[in-house]
Amino acid sequence: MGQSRLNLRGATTLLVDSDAFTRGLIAQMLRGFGMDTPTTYENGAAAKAHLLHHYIDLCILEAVLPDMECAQLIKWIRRQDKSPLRFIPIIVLTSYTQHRHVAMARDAGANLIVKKPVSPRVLLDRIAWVAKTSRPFIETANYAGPDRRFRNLEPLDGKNKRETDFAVANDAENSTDQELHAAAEPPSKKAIAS
Amino acid sequence: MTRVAKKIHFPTTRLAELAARPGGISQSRALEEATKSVQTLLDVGLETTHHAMAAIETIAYSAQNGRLALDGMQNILRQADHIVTMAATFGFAGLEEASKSLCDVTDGLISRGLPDSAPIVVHVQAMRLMVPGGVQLGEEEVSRILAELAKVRLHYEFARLSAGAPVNTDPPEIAG
Repeated sequence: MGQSRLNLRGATTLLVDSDAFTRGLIAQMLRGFGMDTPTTYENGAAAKAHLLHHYIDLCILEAVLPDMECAQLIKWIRRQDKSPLRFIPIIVLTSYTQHRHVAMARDAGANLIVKKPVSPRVLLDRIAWVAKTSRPFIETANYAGPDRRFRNLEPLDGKNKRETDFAVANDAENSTDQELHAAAEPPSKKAIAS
Repeated sequence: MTRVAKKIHFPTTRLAELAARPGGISQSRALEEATKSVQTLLDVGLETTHHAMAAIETIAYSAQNGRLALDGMQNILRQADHIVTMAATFGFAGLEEASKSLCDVTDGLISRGLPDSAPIVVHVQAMRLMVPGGVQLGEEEVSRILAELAKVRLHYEFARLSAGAPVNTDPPEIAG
């Protein structure tokens, strides 16, 4: 990581976890990173109420909350009309008994999943990554959230060479799944050869 | 061919704007500060563990005719999960492994609808020996106890919760 700097002063975090020890642990880490003291809740309903009236820069959620699965809360956030709210980065923490909920959290629109116990290094790496990496936000009938593909793509082949040829922010665009996936694929070896 | 309505946005988050500002602290200093802060929580962690252990013991030893109620077993699972997190955070390897084993066994019993208290009680007794501040066990003794707990899991043929668990969704390396 070298000596690169990160300025997280003033960043607000919503931390939702049923375990008081984990809440304290993560809060201490965030303060160590120079972030504001996080707002903490132990259940999803209280977190929802807070999100409706406050601006948050980062959400850290436990995979299973006492009153709901975090997937429900993430889906609710990702479908909000208030645009800053639905785009907020979400990191999900899973404990030993919650590993099976990883796929649900990912499919609900979480940015990253982190296994507990969380070390300061892992948490800082993940926060730096969500802060520094711009990912498109995909919205379809059954998914709203960050683009889940982590591949570094080569320039697109064919007619539509720019991502913006496909992406029209804020306007509904009709395209098929196959068309979109084909556009996102790197050029085939055959195409490069020709 | 079905046509699916799709929107693609390219949002800029405030977190990205904040992180892009000049200044701030170096990542190595941030880690140093955070690690120091975490160490101050050791006492809280130990207290949490003692509470969780006491809660688990109360439930486990209240079994009627060797049978436990479902909500009691679910509570044991939650409390044991907290102990796993605490033990792993502060490096109590033996306690972490024994607590994980208790989670595996309790989850297995719940999944199969078995109310047996014996496999839980034996785990609770093993964990009590490994809780910090209690008996000082050598590495060899800890290994022997953990091997016996593994036999309990094997007897019931319970899979480990960690088996087949998806790994973290690790992001690619960030340059700079």
